[in-house]
Amino acid sequence: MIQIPLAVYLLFLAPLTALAFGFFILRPWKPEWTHIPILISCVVVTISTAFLAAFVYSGHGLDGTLFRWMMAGDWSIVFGVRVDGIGVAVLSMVSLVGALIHFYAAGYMKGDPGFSRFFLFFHLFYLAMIGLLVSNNYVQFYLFWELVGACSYFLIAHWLHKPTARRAALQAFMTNRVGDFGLMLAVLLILARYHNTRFAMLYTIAPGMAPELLALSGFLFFWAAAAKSAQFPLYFWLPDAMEGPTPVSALMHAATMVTAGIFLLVRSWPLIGSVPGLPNFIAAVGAATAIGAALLACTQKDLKRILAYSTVSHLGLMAFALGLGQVAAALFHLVVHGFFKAALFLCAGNVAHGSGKPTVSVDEAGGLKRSLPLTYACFAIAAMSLAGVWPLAGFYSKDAILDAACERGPWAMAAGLAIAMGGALYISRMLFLTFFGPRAEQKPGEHVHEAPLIMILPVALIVVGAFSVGWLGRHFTHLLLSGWPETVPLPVLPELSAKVSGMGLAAMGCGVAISYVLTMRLPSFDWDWRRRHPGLEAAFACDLGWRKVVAWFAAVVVRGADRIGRVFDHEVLDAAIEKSADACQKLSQTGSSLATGSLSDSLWWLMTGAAALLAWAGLR
Amino acid sequence: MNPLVWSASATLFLFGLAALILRRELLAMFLGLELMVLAAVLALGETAARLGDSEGFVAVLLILAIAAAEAVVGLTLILRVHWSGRPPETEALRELKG
Amino acid sequence: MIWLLRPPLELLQPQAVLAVGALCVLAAGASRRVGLGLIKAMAGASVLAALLMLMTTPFWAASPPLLSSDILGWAFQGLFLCAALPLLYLMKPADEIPPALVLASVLGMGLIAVSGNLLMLFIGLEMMSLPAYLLVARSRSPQALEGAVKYFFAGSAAGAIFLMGMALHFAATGALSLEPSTDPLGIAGAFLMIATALFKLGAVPLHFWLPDVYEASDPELTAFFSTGLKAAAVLFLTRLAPLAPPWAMAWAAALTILFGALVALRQKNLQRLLAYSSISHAGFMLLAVAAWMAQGRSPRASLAVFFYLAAYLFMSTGTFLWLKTEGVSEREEMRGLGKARPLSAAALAVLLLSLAGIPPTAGFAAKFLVFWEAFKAGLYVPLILAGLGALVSLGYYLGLIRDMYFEEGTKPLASAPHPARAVVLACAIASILLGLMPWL
Repeated sequence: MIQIPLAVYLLFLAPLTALAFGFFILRPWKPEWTHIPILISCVVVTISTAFLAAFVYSGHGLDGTLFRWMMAGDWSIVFGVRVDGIGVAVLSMVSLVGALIHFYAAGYMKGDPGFSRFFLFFHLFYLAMIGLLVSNNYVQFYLFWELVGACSYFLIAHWLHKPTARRAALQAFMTNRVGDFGLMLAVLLILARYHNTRFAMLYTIAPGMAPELLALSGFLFFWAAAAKSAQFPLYFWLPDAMEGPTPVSALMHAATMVTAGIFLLVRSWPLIGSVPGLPNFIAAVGAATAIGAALLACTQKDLKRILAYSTVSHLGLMAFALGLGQVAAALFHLVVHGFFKAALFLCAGNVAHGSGKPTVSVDEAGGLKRSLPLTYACFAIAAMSLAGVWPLAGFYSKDAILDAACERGPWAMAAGLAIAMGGALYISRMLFLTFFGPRAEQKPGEHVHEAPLIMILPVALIVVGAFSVGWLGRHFTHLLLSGWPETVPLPVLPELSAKVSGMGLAAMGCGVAISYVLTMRLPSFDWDWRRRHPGLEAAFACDLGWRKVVAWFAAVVVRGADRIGRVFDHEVLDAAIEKSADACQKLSQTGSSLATGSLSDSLWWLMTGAAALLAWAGLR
Repeated sequence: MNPLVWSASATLFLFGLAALILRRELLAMFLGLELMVLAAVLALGETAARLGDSEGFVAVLLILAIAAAEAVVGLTLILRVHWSGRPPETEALRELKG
Repeated sequence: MIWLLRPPLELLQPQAVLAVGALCVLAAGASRRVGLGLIKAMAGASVLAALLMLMTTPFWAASPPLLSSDILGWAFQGLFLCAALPLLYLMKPADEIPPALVLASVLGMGLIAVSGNLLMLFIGLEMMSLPAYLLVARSRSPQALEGAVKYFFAGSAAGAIFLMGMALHFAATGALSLEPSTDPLGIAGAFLMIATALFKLGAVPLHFWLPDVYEASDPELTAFFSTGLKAAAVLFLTRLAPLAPPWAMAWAAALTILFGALVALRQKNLQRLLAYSSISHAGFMLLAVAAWMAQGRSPRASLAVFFYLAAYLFMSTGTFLWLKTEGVSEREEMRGLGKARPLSAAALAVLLLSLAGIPPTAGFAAKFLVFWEAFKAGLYVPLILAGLGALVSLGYYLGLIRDMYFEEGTKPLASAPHPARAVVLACAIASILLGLMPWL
């Protein structure tokens, strides 16, 4: 029997208690207090996570069953936890950033009519994300995966009165379902073959697994990850998901939920990594996603949409790193990205809050650094971290990936440098357009005011993370080493090399310089090209045509399937259900008419039953 | 096995059964019930006598005691039906059905 | 004969306590100065004392003649005693007789649990049933007497059939023990006895007494019947198991599940609806017994039998007591209860979901275990029919929930806080906990 630390139980018990208390007692009684137990639970979870991080860092690990629900032969439904380096590394970021965003949301959502509902779903998501990170088998992982998807659906559609929000929620949900289907298939495949989906067991037998099974499940895992982590064919839901409240965008669609796909790939890397060709494929898809999304991010006008495309780009970068075999670098970037992207989103939220609008486009911004000085400072630091300015966190994580890309070859190097440059370009464009100026085309609101303390302090704390997490690279490697099976090559963050760092900084400098010229020297450029080339703008608006393909697909294939489904539904299924319901009613009537209420009939049936049993015995 | 006793037992049982199922008066049905029990007791007693097994005789005694208790319960219920102003027949007791 | 002189008393400790308790209750009732509350407390205390005694009963010891001691019987005795407690707590007797009758009935069940011989089984059966007839007759419903008469005649007829079967078995084997016989006469006798067991369980087509009795009785008494008496019937059947092949049980189980579920669909009276639902559940218990027999009476499979009954104890007690606490008897009165009484409606919803077998409730875990054991035993066709029956049963369980939450109430309800509310809530919570942690 392994000793399970109390902290592991607290990870689940604290949110569950808070949710139950909030739902059953506070929601009917004092809905505006729903966040209080939830914030306490966030603190408890964060402290527990810190303890678990120390636990793993000091060389311990945990892979055990918390409880076994049901057993049938060698099939069983268990609830297990795996606390290892990978999980804890991501968990630390998720719990800390998540907790801070909870505090932020308490300020941001104040006075919203759906305050209580928002917080319950938000915290349920937090719980599900934590559960996903500490699952020790694929079935449980899948359940939490579905749960985060469902929470995402409800939170994107939080403002139900907005048709765009409902549409975006549905789109996100459907796209995620497409990916979930892949994960479900993979899990069923493994389950059918091995009757067990524990990671530990699969890691040990991975080298001996049938190559076809490995390849198929590996591809399905990537398919699922592509939907959840917004990789190329399935990325389009993420920018639209920005219809949700800003804390949702920050927590789910930037820092945590969308990284679940990357996390799935990391978890399954011992299986995926040995499939010939698959890592290269992942790298190629990742690079394409990253470059394309960076380009699109440069053309967006809505602040949150710029950041959403940036998230897609960074998720592509993580997939790129994974494809190059740099598991540690991908994870490190995941963590660092969580910090700076959450900070950027929250700053965008502050801008919107200050302007009194749910969302702000660059047309309505400009020159905000005077009215929003604190937000400006936070945004600038987080943006520099994203761009990869030394010695901020983004520099270190991006550099590790660049290093791997340079080792792989010229194509990978070119892709890496392009991504680095693109990132610097769009984020500095956003910084300049929002906080400097205003330009002739921009009309910032009259009374833009700084956000209250509860919305500044969490951002500032996250920015501290975005500033400094990069220095922990060596410790991060140490943390990872505790939880990786020995059969797989150990992931290590590469040492920094001056040549690669120089190239990266140069690319970053290029990007910043270009955007400086285009936004500060030529202040109207952003509006000019749109006026002059409406065709080009239209092309960018539909993501260079991909959204049209998706729309066509939805129109033809989905609607066709829908029609077939409807016919089947009406003509076959409904008819069958109606018929069987009728049959049930008839049988029910017959059966009930047998009970005439007469004692003699009842006794007659009794004797008939006994006689039938006797006769049957005689026949046998 | 003594064929005479067994055929008597079988006849008693079937007569009791017929009375139980075919008659509509509760008292007659109750008599049929007792006949069935006694038929079984007769068969048990015959076997016990044939085997000289004391266990069978004890069983007969205990069963008779239980049948007496059963009679008390049954007759009480029939009397209560009578007191409730209904004829003690099955057709008077047909409210519970469906 | 030797057993007459040297009775194995330590196995009968709980029964002895109950007998003394029943006598004390009767004696106390004879005195005018002892109040009814005190008498009820005495009865409850003797059940608790019997439970305590049960803890110290050496069920692992070698079986003395006439009796059998095994863990299944021991565990079931616990069930019987637990089923009697809510009844004793909630009943409102006019005099001391009903509590004494309950004690006597539980005593009879205990005798079934320890019996290792057909005669003992019969004595236990009658001791259990005779007080039950009288308890029905003393219920408050206007149809109580009708129910009691029907129950008495059907039950006594089944008893007579059992006696005939016993006589045939005795003639074929020369003993009243539970040894199977190969003689056709003995097999016929065995089947007659099985028929009695199926009757007590309420298996189709021997079930016609059951809805009438359940409808005529007070809800708390029905709760006792559907848990205590049903468990006793299951145990009675398992005691007879060596005499019969499992297929008969499996088919009877499938028929019972389907029939109970179908007829329950169109019931208007809630107690009658639940009676048919309990017939359906008896089918699942029967299926578990069949699976247990088909697997050579393996202890693991007997766990499924016991677990089903334990889960059903909570679900059924909770549901029937809910009827009592809310004072609801017809299905139409359920409408709009979700709004009028959110807490108790939620408790009932949990109980109904558990009865329907929706995860993560105890009902799901129980059904799952039974299905799994039946699957292992190779009872495929009965299994499919049972699955169909479970599907049909969703129709009325979910229908009731729909009535509560999605229909508008027609009449206002008299609010009557009742001591049993706590018991209902506890049952609902227990059926979730038992579903989450079925190994408990």
